[in-house]
Order: sequence, then C-alpha cells, then structure tokens
Amino acid sequence: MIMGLTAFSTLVWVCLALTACAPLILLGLWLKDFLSKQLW
Amino acid sequence: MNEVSGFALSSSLGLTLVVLFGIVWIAFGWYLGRANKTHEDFALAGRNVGFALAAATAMATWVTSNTTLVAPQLTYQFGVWGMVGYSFAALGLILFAPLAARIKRLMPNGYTSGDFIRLRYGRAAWWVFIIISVVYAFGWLVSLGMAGGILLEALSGLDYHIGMSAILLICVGYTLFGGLRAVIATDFIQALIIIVGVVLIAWFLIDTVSLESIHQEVKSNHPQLLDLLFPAAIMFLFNNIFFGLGEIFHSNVWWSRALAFKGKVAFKAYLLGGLLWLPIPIVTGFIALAAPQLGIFPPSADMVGPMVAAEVLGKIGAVVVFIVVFSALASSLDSLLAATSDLVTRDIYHKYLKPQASDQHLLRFNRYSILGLGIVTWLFCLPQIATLGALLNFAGAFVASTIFPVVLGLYQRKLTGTYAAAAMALGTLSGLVGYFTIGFYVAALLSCIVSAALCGFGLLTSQARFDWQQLNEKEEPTS
Repeated sequence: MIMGLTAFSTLVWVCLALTACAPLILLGLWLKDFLSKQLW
Repeated sequence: MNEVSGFALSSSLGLTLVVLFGIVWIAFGWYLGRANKTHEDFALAGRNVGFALAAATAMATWVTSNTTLVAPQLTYQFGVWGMVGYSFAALGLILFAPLAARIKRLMPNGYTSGDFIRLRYGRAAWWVFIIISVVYAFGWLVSLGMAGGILLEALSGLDYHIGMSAILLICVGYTLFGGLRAVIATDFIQALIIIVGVVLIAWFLIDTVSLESIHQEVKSNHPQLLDLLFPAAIMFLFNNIFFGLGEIFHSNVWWSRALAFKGKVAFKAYLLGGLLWLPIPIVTGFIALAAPQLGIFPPSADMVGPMVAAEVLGKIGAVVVFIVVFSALASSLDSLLAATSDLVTRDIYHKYLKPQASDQHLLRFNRYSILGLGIVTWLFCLPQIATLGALLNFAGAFVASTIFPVVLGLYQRKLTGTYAAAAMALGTLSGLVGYFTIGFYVAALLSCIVSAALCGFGLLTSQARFDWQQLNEKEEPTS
C-alpha cells in the first residue's frame, strides 16, 4: 500500500507547523517563569 | 559545495564556528557554576528547576545526533516508516512523565536511578543495572563524540580527530564548571537553535524542490520507501518504541532531571517535552527522501541529511546544519557527562567505596569524574570504531531489559530483587542473541519480551510486600 501525495504532504506540513510553534511555546514559558522568578 | 576543496564549508570557517561555540558555552557554564555551593547544587541544580527550563531540557536532550543524523538515515533506508517510527520514540518521554512524578514523590532525597535500584532491589540487581547503565552511557558518549568528528569532517574537511576532540573539550569544559545547572541552561538555548534550524532547512527544501516532486520521484524509482506495509520497517517501528522506552526509563540522564525539577513540574515538563519532540524526526527525516532526486548517494547513510541540506541551501545551509547538529550533539553529550559522573560519584564512590565522604569531597570527585569520563571517551573515539547506527542499535539489547523492572519497581510491591536481576540479565542476553542472529531491528524487542516474561513470573510467585518508605533514604550529615 503506497502512501499518496496528499497524505505525505499533510504529514510533513502538519509536523513542520507543530515544530515551528515549539520555540514560541518555550520562549513564552521562559518569560512567564522569568517574570515570576520561577526559573530556578 | 566549495569548488576548491569539495566541502560545503572551508576548514577555517568550521574551526572558527567551533572555537566561537566553545568560548560562549564554557563562559556561560562558568557564569552559572558560581551558584553551585554544594554537591546537590552541582549534581541536581539545587532540585529547583522551573517548568520552562525543565521542558526544554527534556526535549533538547532527546534531540540527539541521532535525531538529526540517524532519522534521515532511517528514512533513506526504511522510507516513511523510518521517520514515523523514529518519532514514536517520543513515547519514551511522554510515558516517563507519570513515572517522573512518582520518582520525585517516592525519593525526595534521591540522586540517581542507581539509588532506586539499590534501595528497591538490593545489590545483585544493582550490579546488573550499573553494568547496563555504564555500557549504554558509554556507548552513547562514544557515538556522540564520533558524530562530532564525522560531522565536522563531512561539512568542512576538518580532520576527524580535531572535530571530535573539540566537541568533547567544549562539553567537558562547561559541564565541569557549571554542573547540571549549566547543562540545563545551555539545553534551553540549544533547543531553540535546533528547532529554528530544522524548520529553516525543511522550509527551504520544500521551497526549492517541492513535496510533489519528492513524492513523484520516490514513487517512480523507490516505491518501497512509501510502502506502508514494508515488513522490515514495521518491525523497526516496534523495536524503536521499546528501545526509546528502555533508554529513558533506565537512564540517569532522565532520573536526575526528574529529581532536579522543582515541586510538581516533572510530570508536565516530560509530557510537554515529548509532545514538542514528536514531530521533529519527521521534519528532519523527510529531507532524506529528496536525496535520490538531487543525485546524492552519501558514502555513509547517516550523512544523508546534512548532505541534502548543504546541497540545496549551499554555504548558508551548511552553516545552519553545522550549528544544529553541533547543538544537538552538545545538548546530549553534556547531559550524559553530568548524569554518568553522578552515577560514578553517588553509586560507586559514595555508596560503595567511601560512605563517609564529605559534601565538598563529593563535589570535587564529581568534577574529577566528568574529566575522567571525557578523557576515556576521547580515547575510545580516536580509532572511529563503528557507525552511529550500529552503536545505537547494539545498546537496544541492554536498555530494553530494564523497562519492566523499573516500571514494576515503582508501582508494584511484589517484584523482588532476584527476579529483577534475572529479568535484566537474561533479557539483555536474549537481545544480544537476537541482534547477532536475526538483525538489529529485533534486539530491543526480544530483550523486552524476555524481561517482561520473567517479571510476570516473579509477580505471580512472589509473596513479598515492599515498603515504599525504604526508598526515602535520608543522608547522614558528614563533616
């Protein structure tokens, strides 16, 4: 059973979008911890 | 490619990047290390790491050279299942989340995974566990050191020995100065660098080559790579799940973090770290599918990712690949150096050889351990003995045997040390037999199955009832 173009493209684009969101999430959490002095 | 030398970067640019990284990381490690007054500060960052740094360190440490080099390699060999199978290793982090919360609750004063095995199962199981841990940690350390040398040589033509020595020197340097605090803080920055880098590479590749043409080329000339029923690839998928679980559940890299995170941070940090990690191997992996279309046939399969990126993006792409893989290597190497030196200091030196050692004595010994581990790793890396994939899969036979003894040890009072020791020893042996007689893709699977069967038998026949209070070991104050 061969994976079609639509499934292949969707898989790659969804994963790329999720990965691109990660730095924003991490920086947002860092800022929250930093402002509340909870980093360490 | 550089027209004169044939490499994507010149040797001098590669060396300049390494030196710049080295200076920045070591200075940062020294700066953070000023807060370390006790052994607990050095080994566990004062047990006070917040959510943001905790989630980033979980994710960054799991993004190793394997995610950036081996995920494309496996996609090149196994196609779609290679990258999807690799991304299933995120299950290790996600399923460790409840275990981490329980570890923190049961062992508020614990230091290492070895502490748990010793207190829960006794000396015999502890010996088996320490051997497995050391083989795994050392195999991983050597594979990371070699990856540094291979990467630098492939991208810039810099001699393997110089690149390998440089990355070891840098990681030993800042871990030595800053301990776990430096490891976690650098992991946060390295996590950002890695993610931004892989997204940039993937984005430019799609923009240049397009997903349609990659799919068309693979479908026409290598259809097995898109085959969802590719048998070896499906076997690999299951093997990789058990391998990932074994790696995380047993390794002190993850236990020391669970114990270092503050309050109730451990559960959500591992969960978020796993979810953030999940899509990364697919983003790094699909790049490899463009290799045949670009006429790239790498001499070593683990270099397919960097070679495709360097080919498509030219010099800038090579610099981005260089920085991403260097960060990925450093984020894992520093963690392993810190966690393995903790095992040596706490489990072997303090609990076995010198129980009366003072806190400052242990702090000094921990630093010597990091230095010693760095030197021994360097010596093993010198001859460039194996490929990354071979070392990685060999370790699967060892670590998968620890999954059930660890999980049942945390949740079940009935499993005894005798069965736990037998499960780890015989599971490992079975995995090694499978590795040499069938193939690397069954080693972890066999190891885990045999270990599970022995643990199951142990539970059925045991009358023991372990007292969880025994895990809460209090430290005797020493001068």
